[in-house]
Amino acid sequence: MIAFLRNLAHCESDVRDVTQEIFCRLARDPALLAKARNPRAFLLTMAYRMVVDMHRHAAVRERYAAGAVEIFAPAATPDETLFRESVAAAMRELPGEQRAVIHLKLWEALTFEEIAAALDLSPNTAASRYRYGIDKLRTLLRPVYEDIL
Amino acid sequence: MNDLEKRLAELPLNPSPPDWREAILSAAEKESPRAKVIVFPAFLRAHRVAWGALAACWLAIGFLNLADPSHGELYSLAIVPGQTPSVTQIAAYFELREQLLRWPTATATILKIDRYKL
Repeated sequence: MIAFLRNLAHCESDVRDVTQEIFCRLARDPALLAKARNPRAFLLTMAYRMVVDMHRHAAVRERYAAGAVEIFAPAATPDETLFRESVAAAMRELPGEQRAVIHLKLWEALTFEEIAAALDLSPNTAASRYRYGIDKLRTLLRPVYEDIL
Repeated sequence: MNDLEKRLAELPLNPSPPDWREAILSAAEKESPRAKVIVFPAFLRAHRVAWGALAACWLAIGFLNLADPSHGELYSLAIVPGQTPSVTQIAAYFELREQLLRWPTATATILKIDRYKL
């Protein structure tokens, strides 16, 4: 969930704030999670909605200057570091909806049905957002990706 | 999945900072309704049923004690040593004595008490 938030939020303090708020809400009302059919998808849905709400507040936009979060773990080699930084930068170029779908598909290994349920979409919309996003990533990463492979 | 998707999926995500876990869980614990129960000492929480039963017994004893109409009356009739008993107290004493005299085995004891007290 934290990795998902890192992909959506714009700074580390937002990630932490949202994570803490989710845990506090669940602590106040534990039945929320108990009633969920799929607790993992439920947490991802909560996280997504809270980030969307957060972005609606104009004041948060000022925090963008604080710098992007580190989505990926540090790499051992310069080539791999360059690749990971390029992927992170390319991900930030994508619209939030595509970024969310790509993260859930690639790094949370959810199916399109599960992604659709988590983000309140139809499975077809989830799949098309994923395809559009991957195509953009391919274009953005082509120079680096072809150099490395 | 094509090659790029597989390559992306293999990228390890940054782990969350170690200090976050404790801070977030302690903030959530404060919001939890169960947090208020934690103020009870550990020994009370360990045997909740036993302590509950004991408390219920004390409540029952207290209730029966208060519900007994003769309790207050008897207490007011108690004779304090060194003070002259009132007429009511003397009357109550003789009434009690009469009742006890009807109980055959108590007669001898009562007569002994009479010899010392009166």
